[in-house]
Amino acid sequence: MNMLTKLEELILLAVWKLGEGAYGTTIYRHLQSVTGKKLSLGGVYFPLDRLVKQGFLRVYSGPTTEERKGLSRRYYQLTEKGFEALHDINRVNEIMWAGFGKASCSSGESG
Amino acid sequence: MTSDPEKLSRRGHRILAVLLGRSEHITFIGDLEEIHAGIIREKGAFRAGLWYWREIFRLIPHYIFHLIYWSMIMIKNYFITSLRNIKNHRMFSMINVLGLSIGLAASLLAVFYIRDEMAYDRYNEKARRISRVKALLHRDGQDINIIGAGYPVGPALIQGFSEVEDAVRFRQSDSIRVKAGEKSFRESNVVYSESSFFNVFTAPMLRGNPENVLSAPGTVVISRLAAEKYFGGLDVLGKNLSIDGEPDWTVTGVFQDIPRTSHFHFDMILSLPSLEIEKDPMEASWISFNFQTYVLMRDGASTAELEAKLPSLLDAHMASEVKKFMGISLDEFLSRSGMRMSFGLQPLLDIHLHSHTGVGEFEANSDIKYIRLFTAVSLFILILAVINFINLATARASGRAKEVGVRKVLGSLRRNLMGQFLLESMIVSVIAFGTAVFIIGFVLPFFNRMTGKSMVLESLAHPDILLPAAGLVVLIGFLAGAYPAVFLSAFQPSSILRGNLKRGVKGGVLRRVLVIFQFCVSVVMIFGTLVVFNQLRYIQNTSVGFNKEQVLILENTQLLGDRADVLKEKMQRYPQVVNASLSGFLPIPSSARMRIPVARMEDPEPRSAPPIGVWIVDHDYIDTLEIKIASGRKFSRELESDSGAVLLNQAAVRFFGFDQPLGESLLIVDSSPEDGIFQKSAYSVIGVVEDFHFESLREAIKPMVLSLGKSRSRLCLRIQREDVAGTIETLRNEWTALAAGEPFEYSFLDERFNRMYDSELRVGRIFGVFAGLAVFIGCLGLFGLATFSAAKRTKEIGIHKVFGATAADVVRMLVREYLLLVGIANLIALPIAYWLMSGWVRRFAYNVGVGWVGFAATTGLTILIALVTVGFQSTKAASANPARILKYE
Repeated sequence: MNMLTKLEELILLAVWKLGEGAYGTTIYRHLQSVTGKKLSLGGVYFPLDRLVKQGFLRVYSGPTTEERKGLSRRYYQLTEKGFEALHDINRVNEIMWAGFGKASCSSGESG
Repeated sequence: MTSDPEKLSRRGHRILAVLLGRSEHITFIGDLEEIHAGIIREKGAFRAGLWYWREIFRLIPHYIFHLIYWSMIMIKNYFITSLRNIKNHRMFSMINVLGLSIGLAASLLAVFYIRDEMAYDRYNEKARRISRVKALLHRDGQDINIIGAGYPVGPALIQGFSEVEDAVRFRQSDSIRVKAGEKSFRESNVVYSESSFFNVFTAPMLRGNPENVLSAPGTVVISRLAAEKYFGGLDVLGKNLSIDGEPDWTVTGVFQDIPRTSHFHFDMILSLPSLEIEKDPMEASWISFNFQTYVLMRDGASTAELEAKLPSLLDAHMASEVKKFMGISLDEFLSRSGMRMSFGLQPLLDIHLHSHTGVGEFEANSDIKYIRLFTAVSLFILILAVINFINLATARASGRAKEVGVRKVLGSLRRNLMGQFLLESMIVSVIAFGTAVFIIGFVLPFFNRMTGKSMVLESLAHPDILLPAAGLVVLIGFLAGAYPAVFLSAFQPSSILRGNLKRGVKGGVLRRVLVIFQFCVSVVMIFGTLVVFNQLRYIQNTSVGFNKEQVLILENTQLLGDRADVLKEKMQRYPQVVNASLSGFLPIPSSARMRIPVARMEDPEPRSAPPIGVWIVDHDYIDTLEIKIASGRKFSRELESDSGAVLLNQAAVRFFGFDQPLGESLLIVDSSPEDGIFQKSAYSVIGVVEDFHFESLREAIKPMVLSLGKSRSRLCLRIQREDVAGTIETLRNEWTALAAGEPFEYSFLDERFNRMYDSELRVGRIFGVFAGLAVFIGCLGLFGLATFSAAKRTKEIGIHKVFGATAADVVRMLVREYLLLVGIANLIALPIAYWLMSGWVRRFAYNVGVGWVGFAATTGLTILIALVTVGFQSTKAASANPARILKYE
């Protein structure tokens, strides 16, 4: 499987969640509200760019607005590969996180 | 931040346009503007402006990371391709790695060596502020550097010049016999000095008070090593040592052993007051040079300024004392003796590498020349290895041209290809470095023995060595890869892929030139080695004018006093002993030497006559050393008058201008004046000995006078060739009987004589080893090229053979080219080698010259080596069955 960084993973999930409305601004706002951190727009933008080049996302142009000073939106959509990667991550996560909800600090899985 | 947000935005856009690609920044700015507008709505324009600029600045680290990320992916790809290339061409890679690792190992050893040499005396915390007084005497067209000053100079410097913080004087001592209880040893690293030693130099006191340890007469400070040797521990304060038979020396301190990287290594320091210098007016005067004087400058004081003031101080005092002792003015003295004097200061840190001609050194110093020689040869080795890399890379160019073509068609830029080739050579260089470390680990013990050092591999991790090493690795990777990178990446894909790559004519010529260069270096080094060893053999075999074989030297016989003669007579009675002589004056280094004025009878001012060597010998000296008599006779026991007779060597006869020396008389001025009055006595010349080499063959034989007298510090025995061990045992028994408890030390005259040429031997060995390496690397390259060209010409060979050429014809065809290159290299390099080595040989007043045999041997050797290297591959190619080769056409 592809080892994606946490940020890349979150971006892919955000794109999936936002569906038709996934473009730079919405992805950025979504991540900021979910993580509660002050993200940098560049910190989102470059990974997005990379994910496109690696084939996890595809891009299509959308309409513009007054606020954007006439610059077009770039909408993002998961590719087949992107979905696969998310499924992989999900599978691994389920295995790794299994039973963790009941765990406390004193006891590990084995003892 | 009151300015118009629109204007701000536009300025920000320009930054973004630079950082991001032209098309990409548009959507980014779009998003930025959208969010910006949102913030303006919620929090106002000011906050939005702040946010906007913060975003732009926060973009920069992401941008940088982005760049690195993509270049890493590219490098990963280069890396995989490079490794594939290295693996697929195993032989070429092996040759490259092997050659480069040898080159690197040699250069790293040079770095090790240089670092060690530069470290000398730096352990002293005040090293930069220490310098020592030196005097330069100019006489008879010769410069003599003397390390030393008069007794009063040190204190006078402290008093007279505020910039001098402290000074310390040393008086060299002969080796002494030290006894503590049962333990008795001879100590040679001994000096007289004063307490300020511990202030000027860094030698931590383990016991005792550094302020005044050496203030009282009869006190001695010893090293930790000596303390443990004599007393088995450090608590030795107040204990007694017997030195040269005087029992009352008190140990007042113990200092930490002096580090190896020091220009002196004292085990014992005796207090200067013990010498009672003031009692000997001549010794205590300003005009002696017997005291090595080191000056500690104050922080920030200029040594050069002090140096400039030095002569006025010294001249004034010396003038008055010359007047006092000799009754003439300083100027008169100087003009009469034809001598000029000047004084200077030598920085402590210059001593180890730049002070080697001086009289009065504590130990033989190293020489910056060795560093230069070593650096030069190791760099040459490295260059040879780099040449191999370049040659093999260009030779394989046609093979790699297709790769270049395909890559270019698929969109590689020239820049990418150059990166690829450079990375490849870098990888080879790094692998070679790993191998080099391995090689160094293996050869370091031998190298240490050769250079007399004790360096360890671990110091490779020290930044002093690691940084140059890393630099070398990168440099080599670059040097080796640069030309192939430029050369190979320049191919035009259209012509390569159509299959009409122009045979790299340029590459071929360059290759030949480089091979010639490689062999030039080998030729010079082989020739140099031959000349050095030839000269050494000459030195060992040449007649030195006496018979240095089968002479046993027993030291310390002066301890026996008059019983030395008893020992001599006893030994003479043994059949294994041919002859025996008591004299401290021997034709070996570190034997007694005395230079005093000797004048012809008619000389009006014999005291200022130039001093020449006067040797005190006994009746059997001439026979024991088998020195030949040229005319006259040797000393005779029967003639009482011979106590007033001298023998001259032929150089002395020429020096005094005697036509008929026998019967002439000479005045010898006693060097130690009593009450300031010089003794002079007349001696008649009864014989002339043939010139014999009593100094190294570097120097011309100087005039000398042999005089009869008692000098008992050594007993020389001419012994039979048989049962040398038995003779030594006999001598030991006789020695113990007469001098129980005294150290028994003996040596052989020929060994001591040959040790004078240790430094030449060292140069010879370094040359020899490096010549071997140069030849080996050159051959590796030649082997690679021959393999390559044989492989490329298989079809040609096959056709030749089908048309009737024999294997021998083919071999001749293949080998001819390389022999031509080696021949040209010989033609170019031999004159250079001749010029270099005749300069070296001229350092010896007595030499064999460079010798024509050397030329023939060098040429023969290089051609033979080249033949063997190339011949193997060629024979293999030539003996292949043409049917098999041509079948695939």
